[in-house]
Order: sequence, then C-alpha cells, then structure tokens
Amino acid sequence: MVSKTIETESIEHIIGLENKLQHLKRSLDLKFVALIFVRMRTCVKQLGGDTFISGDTSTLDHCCNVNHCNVGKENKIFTLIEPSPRIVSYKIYSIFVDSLLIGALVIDSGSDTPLQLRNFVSHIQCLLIKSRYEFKLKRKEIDFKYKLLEVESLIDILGTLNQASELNREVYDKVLFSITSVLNASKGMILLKDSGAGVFSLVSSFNIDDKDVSARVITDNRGTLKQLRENRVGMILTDFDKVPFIPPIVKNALICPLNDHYGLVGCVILLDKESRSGHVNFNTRDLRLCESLSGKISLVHNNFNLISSLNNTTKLVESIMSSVTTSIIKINKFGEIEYVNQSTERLFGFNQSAIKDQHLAVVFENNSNLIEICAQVEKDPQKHYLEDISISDALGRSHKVNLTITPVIDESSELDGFVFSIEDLSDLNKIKSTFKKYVSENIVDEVLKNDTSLELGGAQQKVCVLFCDIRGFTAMSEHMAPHEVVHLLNHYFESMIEIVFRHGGTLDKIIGDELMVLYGVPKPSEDDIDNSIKTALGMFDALEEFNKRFGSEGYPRLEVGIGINYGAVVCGNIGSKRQMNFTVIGDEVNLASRLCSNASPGELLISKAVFEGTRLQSQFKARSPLRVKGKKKEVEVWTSSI
Amino acid sequence: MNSITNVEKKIDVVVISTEGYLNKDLGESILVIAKEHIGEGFIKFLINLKDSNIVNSIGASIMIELIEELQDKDGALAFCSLAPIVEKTFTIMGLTKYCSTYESQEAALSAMA
Repeated sequence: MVSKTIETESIEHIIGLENKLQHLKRSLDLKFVALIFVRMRTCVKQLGGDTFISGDTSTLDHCCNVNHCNVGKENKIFTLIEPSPRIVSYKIYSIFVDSLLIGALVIDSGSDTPLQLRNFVSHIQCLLIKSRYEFKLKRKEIDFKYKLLEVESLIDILGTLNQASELNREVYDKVLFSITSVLNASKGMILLKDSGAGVFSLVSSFNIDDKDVSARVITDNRGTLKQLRENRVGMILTDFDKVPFIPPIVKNALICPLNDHYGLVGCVILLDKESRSGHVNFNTRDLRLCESLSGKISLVHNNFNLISSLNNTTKLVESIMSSVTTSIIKINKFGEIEYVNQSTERLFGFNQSAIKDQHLAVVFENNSNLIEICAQVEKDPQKHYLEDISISDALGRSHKVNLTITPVIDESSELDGFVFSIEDLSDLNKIKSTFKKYVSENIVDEVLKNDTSLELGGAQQKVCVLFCDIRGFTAMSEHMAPHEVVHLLNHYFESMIEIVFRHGGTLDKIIGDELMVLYGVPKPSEDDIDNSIKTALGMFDALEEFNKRFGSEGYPRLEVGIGINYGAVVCGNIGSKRQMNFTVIGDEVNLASRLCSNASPGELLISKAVFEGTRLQSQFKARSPLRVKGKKKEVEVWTSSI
Repeated sequence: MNSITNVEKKIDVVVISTEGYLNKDLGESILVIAKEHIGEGFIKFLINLKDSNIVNSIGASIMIELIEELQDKDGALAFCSLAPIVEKTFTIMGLTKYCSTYESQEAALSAMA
C-alpha cells in the first residue's frame, strides 16, 4: 500500500500535466493513464494539456461521465487514446469544476487505488480552478490596459482640443490619429461640412488616399450622411453602397456625427478594426467610445464657432460704437462702468481704461443729475429720455445733451444694469450756428429735420421774393480802399440780415451789394407777404441807424431800393450733388428784381400780388405802372416811399 | 505608408527602421524580419520608430510576442526615438517592463554594445 501512495506534495511541484500523469503512473504502478478534456480548453492548455474531445456537448458528457467502459463500445475517448491490446476495459474518473464536467482521468480497470486517484483528480480540479482564475485575471489585466489606453487617449484628445487656439488640420490630425489607434482601426477620416455650399470635405485622413475622397461631392442629402443628419447618432456601417466615398474595406466601419445646434456639421469615420488574428467588426462598445469622442469634437467645434461669431459680433459692435457720435455707457447692476465708447471719452474727457469697473458715483462725481437718474431708473426700470440737460466733463466744461437711459433686463427679468446714450448737443449747436452764417436759419432747421430736403430737385410753390440793393455803391466804392469796402459791406449785411432773420426770411443769396430774400420757403406761412414788407421797412430803419454810426466814422451814406413780388416760382435745390443752393427761379423772381431796380433810394416797390395779399395796404399808394423787361403789359406797382 | 524603411546590422544588433502606423500589418512585418534574423543567429534588435508616431494595441502586442521570442533565446529588444504617445502606449501595454527605450539610435547602440 505504501509503495502505491501518490506523493501528493511532490506532484504539486511537478510542472505540466503530462509529467504529473507519468508521475502518477509510476507511483501507482498503472498500466495506462490519460487525461481527456471536453471543456476549459484555454485553462487546460495553460496547464500543458492537449487532449481534447470535440463534438456536441451531450455526447462528450456521456463519454466522460461513466465509471467504466470497454474498448470498442464506441466511446469517443478511444478516438484519442491508443488502447493497449492487453487492456480490455478502463476506469474513468470524471473531473468536475463547479458541477460542470470538464474531462476525465482514464486508467486501466486493473488498478485498484481509488482514493489516490480521487486525490489526483482533486488536484487537477484545483489546478483548473486556479488556471481559470489566472486566465480571468489576465483577461482583466488586458481589459484594464485597454481601458487605461482609452482613458489616456481621451486625455490626449481632450488636451489637444483644449490647447488648440484654432481648429486646423493639425489639430484634427492629432485627434483622428488618437481615435484611430485607441480603437485599433486601420484607417480613418474626418469630414466637415462647408456651411456655405453644404458640401462635406476632408479635413483629416489616416491611411487613406485623400484623392479618393476629395474627388467626390459629398452631401447629406442622401445615403448614410442623410441618416446621420436625421438620427444624430453614430452607426456601425455594413452597407457600403450607401457610402460611396468610403474606400474599399474588409470588415465594417464606424461613422459618428459632429453636430451643432442646427444639425450635422461633420463626421468621424473609422474603418477596419484590427485584431491579432486579422480584421474584425467594430462592436457597440467601440461605437460608444467613438460617439463620446466625436461629441467632444463637436463641442469644441461649436465653441470655436461661437467664439468666432462672438468675436465678429464684438468687432462689429465695437466698430459701430466707435463710429457713432452718441456717447454710450454701459453700467452693470452693481453700478460699475462696464463699457464706454470713444464718443464718451471725447464728451467727458475720460480715459476708457481708467474708468472701466469704477462705480458711477465716482466717475460721475460732478454729474449728480446722472446718478439721480440712475436711481430713478432702478426704481422704475423703464426707458427714460431727458432733453437738453447739462453735464460736466472732466475739465469742468458744461455740455448740453439729450440723455436716454435704457434699463438692461436679464433672462430672469431682473435689472442687470443700464445703458446711457448721450447725444452731445454742443456739436450740433456749433454746426447750426456756423451753418447759419452761410445759410438762412430756416433752411438749416429744415435740412437738420428732414433728410430729403438735401435732395436735388424742385417744386412749384408760391413765394414772396425781396430784393434789396444799395444805390450807387459801385461808384461809391471806387473812392474807398478795398478793406474799407469790405468793412462797410460786412456791417451793412450784418444789420440787414439780422432784420431778415427776425422776420422769418430765408436769405437766398448775396449778389455783390444786393440781397435776395425769400418768404414762404422751405415752409409757406400766411404771414409771408407781411413779413417781407416788415423786413423791408425794418431795413430802412436799420439803415438809418447804420448811416448814423458809420457816417460819424467818415463813411459815405448808404441808400437802398427794395422790390417785393409774390407769386408761383420753382423752388428747390439747384446745383450738383457736391454743391447746391436752395433758391427760386421764374418770372415772378425776375419781376421782384425789376421792381428793386426801379425803386428809388429809400423806396419800396411792391407788385399787385403783394399789395392784394398784405394787411399793411394802408402804408402803400399806387404808383404809375412800370414797363419792365420780359412783360408785355405794364405792371401795376405800389410804393411805400414816405 | 506603413512600412519598414530600413534594416541594417550594426555589429551584433539588427536595427529595423519603420514609418507610419505601427499596427498589425507593420507589427507583423517587423516580426517576420526579426525571425529571419533570429534564424541567422541575431538576438539583439533595435526598432527605430522615429517616423512611426502612432501605434495601436495590436502593434504593441506583436512587439510583446517578439520580446517573448527573444527572451527564450536570451536576446534583447530595444526601441528608440519614440513619440510621447507611442511611449505612453508601450508603457501602458507593459512593453517597457521587458525592454529598453532610448532617445536616439546612437544612444541605443551604445547601450546595447
């Protein structure tokens, strides 16, 4: 008995199943011993076993799950072992792991050492269980490495995308290479949609001839890209007829969308997954990972687009803000200056960078009215408009402005600050006063009020036309120095034009020493005729004063004759687009001029139309009719000469 | 595109230079060339990956096979000029536990001499 006991301790140290079996055979003096397996092929191989029965499971179980069999009973076991001619029957010890038949120990039926054999079977069972755990552990370790690779690739991809200052080919290449390698793909490409043409073009490719793809017009109007656009999720592609731009591949492909808010903007395509044994199909796990990565690319792509759009908008706003003459100030909900445009700098004399983020109470220390208005808007968040208020600039100069304060309301309907828009009236006033030196105030106001008043063209309108001419001025000026002529005329016109404007006249032009004045343009009034007469009478009075002043300085006395007519004329802007005059033309204008020519010094001649239209008839008396150039009949005339 | 660009013998070291994707195809090409040279008695190999800046796990696992083969023969496999992403993959896949990596071919040859 002792001689037939297996040296169990030593058998544990024997490596390899075959060696263990030989040791068993020697120890127990067996004529035949073999190990047959039907399952756990990998674990058995790991232990060095190589005898397997293949076939349907129930048959295999039947082969091993018997205690005894004779050679020739068609047990499949005998297709693997070579029966000894001296052995007619065998004993079979089944090997189970977790109640599942794994194989059997086969010995000749003449041996009678069941305990030792069962111990051996238990040892084999333990080895198989251990091997199975080791195998699982190895699998887990490999899985872990793959996971680690995926995580590292994700980190690399995110790092590449996060560090990119723009999404160019280099960035897309890095991302595509990482995705391709982590998913063991053979080839890959990224297509992006041109927002204008709607055509997809290659921005990155890996192991693909670009010419194959670039030569094709790729749209999402049909096939796989249409499906991708509609479903917005990735797909495992098997039907390549729908994707003609994909180069020939062995197995399947992955396609994942790059989406923005509006739809499909591109896609990532991976082709032919590799394995150690050749190409294999991508699986849903691969799809999930690829979708996750393409989602990240989409996010970054969208962020870049948003930033680009925001930059463009900011540039546009900045450009608009710097070009407007209105001062714009944005104040946040804490009362701090968030933004001011260049006009604000000019108006207040601020330095933008110096006042940014400063509280308005500090910035507008000298403009308490603005602070008060802010407080009002805070209580009553509506648009407030204030006309012609005074503000002080940094140097203490006062400016007249029109102010609009608009509350800024955020998405949750809370007050988020204010926008001040301040229209500086000083520039406008300066322009007005300068302009009025050259053009009648009426025309200046009309031009400033109405853009169309600056268009070339005319209309027929009833107008009162006054001409006033200095009698004998040419001969008089010949005896004066030029600067004296200019000095005298300047003061003369200043006095006369003052009277014109006082009575609402429009100074049409100064021709030498002659004034041409209109009433009823740009806007007619029922007092036009009376105003023209009052002007003429006022001119005579003013001239008296003028002669007194300048006579004392040695200047010669000036005398004027005035003519006024009223009638339909053509009035409007006459000239070119670069230079135009608002004036009137027509027979009635000529008649006014003729009346002026015929007026004696200190005489006002008016036409019949003026006489009939005035409430001041008592101041006129009829004069003998005049024959004037261009009129067949004599013209009736009234005079005011005293 | 993905290929072995040069094989040269530097005394007892076989230097295999590659370009492109170190994947299954390129990995197997390296394995074939290495086995040919093992048959001729060479047991020291240096793979120069200067122009291969992308690798997948299949390519890395084939390199492990080559390491196993060389270990059986007391040989050695080394890599040089690895792109950071390739080195990272090799480290994760466990290659760097069994072989050395060098910054340049010269450094590798000097160490392997």
